[in-house]
Amino acid sequence: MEPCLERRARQAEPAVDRGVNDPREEEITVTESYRAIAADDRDGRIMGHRVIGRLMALALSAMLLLAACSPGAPSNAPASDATVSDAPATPAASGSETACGSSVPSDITAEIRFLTGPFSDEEQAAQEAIAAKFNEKFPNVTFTFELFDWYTSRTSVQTSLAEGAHDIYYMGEGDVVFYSADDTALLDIGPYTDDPCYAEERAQINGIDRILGMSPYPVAVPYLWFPENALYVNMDKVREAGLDSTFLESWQSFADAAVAMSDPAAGEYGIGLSLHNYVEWYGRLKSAGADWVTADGSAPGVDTPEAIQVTKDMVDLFTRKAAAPLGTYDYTTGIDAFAGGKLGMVGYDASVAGALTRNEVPFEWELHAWPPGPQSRATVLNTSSFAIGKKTPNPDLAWEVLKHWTSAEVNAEYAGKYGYFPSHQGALEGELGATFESLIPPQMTAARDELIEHGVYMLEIPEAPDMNARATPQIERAYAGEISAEEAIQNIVSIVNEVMGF
Amino acid sequence: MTSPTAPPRRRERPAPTSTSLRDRLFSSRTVDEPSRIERALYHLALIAACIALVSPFVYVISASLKESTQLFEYPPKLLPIPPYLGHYERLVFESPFPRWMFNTLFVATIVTVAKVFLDSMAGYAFAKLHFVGRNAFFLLMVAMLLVPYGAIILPLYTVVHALGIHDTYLALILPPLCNPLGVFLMRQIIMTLPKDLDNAARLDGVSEFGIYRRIVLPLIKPSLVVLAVITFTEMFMSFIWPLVAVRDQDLQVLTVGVASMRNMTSVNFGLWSAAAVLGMVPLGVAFFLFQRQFQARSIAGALKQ
Amino acid sequence: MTASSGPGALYSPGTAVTGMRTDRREALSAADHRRLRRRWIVERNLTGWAFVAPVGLFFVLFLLIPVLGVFYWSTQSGRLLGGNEFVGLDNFGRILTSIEASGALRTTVIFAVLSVPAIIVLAMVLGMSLARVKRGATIYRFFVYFPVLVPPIVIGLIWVFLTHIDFGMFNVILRAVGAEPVNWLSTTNALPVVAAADVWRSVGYWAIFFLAAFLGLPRELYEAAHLDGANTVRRFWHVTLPGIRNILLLAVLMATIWALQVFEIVLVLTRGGPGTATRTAVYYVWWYVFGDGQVGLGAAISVLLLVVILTMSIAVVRLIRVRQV
Repeated sequence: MEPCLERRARQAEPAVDRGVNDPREEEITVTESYRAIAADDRDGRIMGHRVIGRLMALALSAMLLLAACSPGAPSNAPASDATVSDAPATPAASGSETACGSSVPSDITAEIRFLTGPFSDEEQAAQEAIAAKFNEKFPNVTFTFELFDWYTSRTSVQTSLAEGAHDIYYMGEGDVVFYSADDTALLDIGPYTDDPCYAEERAQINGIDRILGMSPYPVAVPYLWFPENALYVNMDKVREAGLDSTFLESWQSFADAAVAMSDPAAGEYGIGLSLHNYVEWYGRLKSAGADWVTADGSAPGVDTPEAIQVTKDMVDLFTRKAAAPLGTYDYTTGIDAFAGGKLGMVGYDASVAGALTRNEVPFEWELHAWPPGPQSRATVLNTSSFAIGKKTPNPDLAWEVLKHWTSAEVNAEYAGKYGYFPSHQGALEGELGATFESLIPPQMTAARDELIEHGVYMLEIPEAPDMNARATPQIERAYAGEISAEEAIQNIVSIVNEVMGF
Repeated sequence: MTSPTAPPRRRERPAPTSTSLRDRLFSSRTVDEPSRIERALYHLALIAACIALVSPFVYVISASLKESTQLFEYPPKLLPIPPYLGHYERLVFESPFPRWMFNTLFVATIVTVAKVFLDSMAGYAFAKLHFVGRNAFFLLMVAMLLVPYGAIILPLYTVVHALGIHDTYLALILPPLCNPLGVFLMRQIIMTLPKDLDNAARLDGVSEFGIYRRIVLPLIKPSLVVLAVITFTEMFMSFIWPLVAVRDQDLQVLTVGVASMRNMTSVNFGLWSAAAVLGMVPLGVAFFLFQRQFQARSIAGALKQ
Repeated sequence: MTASSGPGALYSPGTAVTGMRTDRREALSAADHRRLRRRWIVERNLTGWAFVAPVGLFFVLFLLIPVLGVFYWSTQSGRLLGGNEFVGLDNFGRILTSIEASGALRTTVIFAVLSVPAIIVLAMVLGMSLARVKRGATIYRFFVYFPVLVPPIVIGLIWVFLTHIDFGMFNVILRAVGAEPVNWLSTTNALPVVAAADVWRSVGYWAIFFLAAFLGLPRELYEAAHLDGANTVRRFWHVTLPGIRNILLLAVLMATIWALQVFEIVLVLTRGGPGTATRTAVYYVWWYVFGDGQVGLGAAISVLLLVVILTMSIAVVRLIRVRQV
């Protein structure tokens, strides 16, 4: 007989007492203990009653089922790749040359999903108010608003565009260029914007041609513009230092004023730099007459003597202890510090104006363009637009929504309330204009002409936001004294070369 | 979890002839009993550590009970009277915080329960069953223990995307199930069970699954609890995967939600600290109830030898 | 569950092989035996794999394939969901030349050097203390271990408070003793502060670890040393330390591996720090892949991380094995 069979046969033999040294005594004991355990289990003492066990299994599978069929489940995801073809949506405009009404029936039932940014702490409520007005015309359209987080916005928008998870997207200027770089993401709204029926509205929107022309094909319509990084000045502190607002007329007087307003021992500084560091340095670069690339776009344009000079000027503010050292405050704590009188000036975007007004700070403050550089007094502006995702199930309805959100009526209130300027001219005139003026912080109104006169925009190439994002840390290293201004510029040159492929 | 196998033996040295202060402080009567001064030093170190480790929490709790304006007060009060509950109210009633908490608890529970069973099954197979490729596959799994999660988020994201389960609960549940640590622990534990226990059961014709369910599982219950605790904790603390896996706000977990609060436009330290406090509650409560099992986490690492 | 079968029953996994239960000790033909054995082996394999299948499936899908995928992606360039093209080993070259990527590696290494020794030493001290005190051990253990259970994100948030220039706990204490407030998150201070946060968080975990290790040491060694007249320090150096040598090596390895992967604390506390001061490797992986659209570079850094960790682990395992024989 083969050995294994022999072994098995032996194992099955009845227990025979062979004495204490029997190696198989261990087996016998184990077998008994096993039987004891099994017997216990039969009475349900160890693993619990069988029914309970089965109930738990049932509950677990129910939970798994629930998880799979949750609202976010793929089966509920609208517009999968199969159902929406890549052919551009045929706009209804071509079919309604005679009447200029909308081709969308007013009783349409649909859902429109927004992906936009947290422009204020009441963003959700503000958007819902706008939606309520839209429902007056289209009562059966429901809205969902999702606010991305600024820090991870790129990821959110990219993935959403790829999946068709939303219909309307917020786009800053850089975003319009970035996301339209490939044509699978955003809907071509050319057929809508070129429609003669839209011409009247279009003529009233400032800057629309620039925005429409930014991308290979038109994708976005602007609804407001604002300074991306303007100077907020605590006028009380200015006066305490024995100055008035003429200190902004030259860089030298500006720097001296910042020093005069500083008291490092008391933890107070004349200016807070690099708090909202997005495009702050870019403004200085533009004021030096330079840009990321040269005018013909063939080489880096950042290493001009003037560019180095303005960078040095900024570094100087830190060296002279007029600027709060890096890391003292950041984007969120800097606003507090300004409101608390710890910083005489800060560079921030327009949203802070609304926040300062709502929180009723106890001192007088003004908004200004940055002081002059060697060539100009540049302050970087940005435009907020809306675009439509390519995978939206109902492009015509989306266009109606877009029109509503970029209309004069909506923006007179929205822009004014949160401290932005509407793009639509109609929001500045007549009754709507009066509403806007009453809502917008007076400091913004006072600064408006200055901002328009000295406003510049980020370079309109797809790589610009990337270069800006990567250049900023190098500038900060110069601020911290880690590297010199020249080195920072050199680093930025290599970044530009890398990104642009020079 | 480890204890000396023999009862402590006390071998006394002959009583010291001098009772000088120095002797009383510095000498020890027995080998395993530290001298007075030694023990005092240990207590000192521990008290210092506890102060350093606990005071930030006290500070945060105190901040969460203050209104935003009171935060800047100097000297700061430890507990404002009356305590301001507005932050907590706002957090619980007006923010997505409860939703985040629910999501996290939901996902963590499912993953924990599933992992306990799946890992013990696999551990049993690796420990007691023989099948082709057993050792190779086990080695492969153990090798992957060292893979840092942050390094594979991109391809993991692609896989999840390809399967079409991204932005669903499944995206949060399925990937963590593959952590090989659980399988490793289960195998080690099951290998310590008497060798012929299952053989004897097989003799009686019990199915393999029956052996697993009725014999192995009851015997390793303490380790199952430890595994459950480890898994639950890791689910609560995972951040980078939920950050990229799920974008829908309704599915967001606690860690990502709290992080997003940091990036809101308006500063609200009181709100943040309230969120921090509430965020620590679930694990804190679990820790209080299952102290020993939690601390076994550290010791489980020692088993990896 | 069937009753015990009589002698001569063949060992069969689960389902009885019908027709072969014999009460007669007949010799089976060789062919029959081979057939029987084959079936039995196949069933055995199937059963084994059936147990492993669920975990195995997830493992392959969500761990094995992604690891292979990282290598694939590191040779590509492009955005997150499209537009890839093969660029070979270009990305690795860029790690060396790109100002940021090389800085990331440096930052990560410096962080590890700052935090790991501090964690290990403090944990050993605390572990020893816990092993040697009798009263209050439970309470001490609770407080010491508690920070370990706080998600790193919340740790970051807490430390944002502690380090605030005006009302952060650190500066409040400094002011109370008459010292100057410190800018904790400045370019030079940020990385040490992040390291301190990590130490604060991890010390409890390793303290318990070492506690178990110390308690596991055999008493006989100590008694021998004591009789030889060794005092505490010598005892520690010559008896305790060699005894936990392997555990210590393991702890250093694991703590280092975790330190190389620091991300959440950086994200919340400093967001990459003033300038690039606290941008660590995993931070860059996340940034390149999900923010900057340079997927290949992020994957290349991941590969580098994997390789480094693997090499370190192999080295330490070798060290442990060498002495164990």
